[in-house]
Amino acid sequence: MPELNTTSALATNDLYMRHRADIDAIVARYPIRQSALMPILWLIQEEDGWISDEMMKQAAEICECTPAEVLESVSFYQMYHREPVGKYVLGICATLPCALKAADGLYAYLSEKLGITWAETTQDGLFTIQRRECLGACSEAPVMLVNQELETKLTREKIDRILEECRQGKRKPYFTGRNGYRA
Amino acid sequence: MAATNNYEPILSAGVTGTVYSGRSESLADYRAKGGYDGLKRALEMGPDKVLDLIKEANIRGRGGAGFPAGVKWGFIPRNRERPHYVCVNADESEPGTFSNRSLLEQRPHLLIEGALIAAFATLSESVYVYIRKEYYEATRQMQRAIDDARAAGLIGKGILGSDFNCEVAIHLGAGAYICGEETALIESIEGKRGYPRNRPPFPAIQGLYMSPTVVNNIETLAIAAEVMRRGVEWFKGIGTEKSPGMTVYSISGHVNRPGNYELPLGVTMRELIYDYAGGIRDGNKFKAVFPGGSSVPMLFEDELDVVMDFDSPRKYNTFLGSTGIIVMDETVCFVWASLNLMHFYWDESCGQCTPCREGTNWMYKILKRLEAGQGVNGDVELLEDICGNITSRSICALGEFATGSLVRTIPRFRAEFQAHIDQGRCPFEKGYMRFG
Repeated sequence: MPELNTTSALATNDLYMRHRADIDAIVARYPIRQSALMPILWLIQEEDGWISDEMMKQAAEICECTPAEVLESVSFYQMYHREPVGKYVLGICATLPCALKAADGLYAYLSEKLGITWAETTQDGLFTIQRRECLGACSEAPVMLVNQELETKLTREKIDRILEECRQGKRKPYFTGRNGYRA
Repeated sequence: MAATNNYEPILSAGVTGTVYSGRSESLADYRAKGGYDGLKRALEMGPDKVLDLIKEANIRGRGGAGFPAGVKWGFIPRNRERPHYVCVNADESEPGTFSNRSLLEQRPHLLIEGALIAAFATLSESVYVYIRKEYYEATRQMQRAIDDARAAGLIGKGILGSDFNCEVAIHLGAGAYICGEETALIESIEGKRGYPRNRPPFPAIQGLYMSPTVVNNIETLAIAAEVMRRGVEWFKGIGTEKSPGMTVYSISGHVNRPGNYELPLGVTMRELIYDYAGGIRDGNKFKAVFPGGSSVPMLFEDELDVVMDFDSPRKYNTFLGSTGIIVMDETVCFVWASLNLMHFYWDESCGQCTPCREGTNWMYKILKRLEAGQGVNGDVELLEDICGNITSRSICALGEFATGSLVRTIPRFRAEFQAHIDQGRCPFEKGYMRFG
């Protein structure tokens, strides 16, 4: 397994220096450096909520590939964000099995309640609504992901309760922030 | 109910509900039930005999294609000029399919054992489990199980005191349906976009890192573990002659009891819908069903006695696919349903091949205007024409999958499609869209 040469190239790489242990462990899982790209992008997004151009360059440096190759992946995979998102990302499953159980109505209800549409974030920075394709829980339709938690058999009452819990800070935010969560 | 009514679940033994509710089988519980005895037996037999046994069992791949796992493993060179790899396909993303989720969350050790047996038989020392990012709980449970197995000497160097070494690592996706296609999955592990590769060369010769690679669905590997433990005769005693064994059918949509049902291959669609899933909701009439995820053509009322094994659905030009069964009742509009799914394929097409990229875009545009009442005469025929031109003209099958909701539906329900044009609106009330 290739050892990271931290004394030279990566000593000025903030991303690497901040997550040295995690990145070393990721790199050690693969025989080539570029395989570490997707897990490192997840590391960035868990911290910042999104992936900036600067972070893409730093990831490229660690993975020994070009920023263009990083952008290819970031733009190809739908769950990587290229702009900041809310503290709570509501990923509504919109595919047929959920749509047969009122996913469209669920979206309309949430959209009206929060005053935002697909891929938008509320002004207070709390909520982002995303359209997700089949989440693989079709017997429990309609479903949505609230950050990492899957919420099933949704009703208006359940949605109201979930939003309230988020507003009261009872749920884990989507990203941690560089120094813990920054509201 | 048919010969299936006394069947006790094997793969999903002890699994409760579709989604995790706090219970996942521990290493101790799994071993108490004979867990990892299949691996122990494999280590005693040696890789060649394990390969023969899996070939003899005729475990047809549960990921959708039905290709025998033993044959696939047999394509791997019997030397180790390059390292070999095993990739576990846990990217379950086919609309209407949720059986892998339950196994990942609630029986992770069964999957690890199967993957280790596959690695041993194909002379591999490296397993990557590719899990879709949306499966957060599945990832947590799988990582915990991997850590426990490693601590118990089941992963790592000298497994169970043998000279077999094997590492297991999770690789997370990031929301791309196409990565369930085996060569796209390989590209993704290499840190690239999930672009399917042209074949040949097949992954068995040049797969991950240009090395011999096996990619198997997790249910296939779970079955391999059970076969190693219980034997070929036991396995062949379940299911039909050409489709031995069991599978987990996921049933969703307008039925009274949606959920996962593990049954022998050979149960009929009518039994699945009416005996197991409790029939159609609200006393409504049945309209159509996707038998194997949204990518395979639908079946209709007069076809429900079809046997749900690997070969029988073919007589209706459809497939067992992922065994994700999506049931629609009489209130569903086919144009609306096709539009919903076309958005999916339009969104998920990787964009590499013109017929798929442009074809899904055309079909999406046509279905949008039909559903909005703005279709023009000839649109339905144009849809059919595109279906015929998208199939078998791209590197992978995604373009063909996009035609699943149309190819058998338009000829049988042409009037329903045409009515959207003639009336200048969708004639359906679509009460199922209302959120209560």
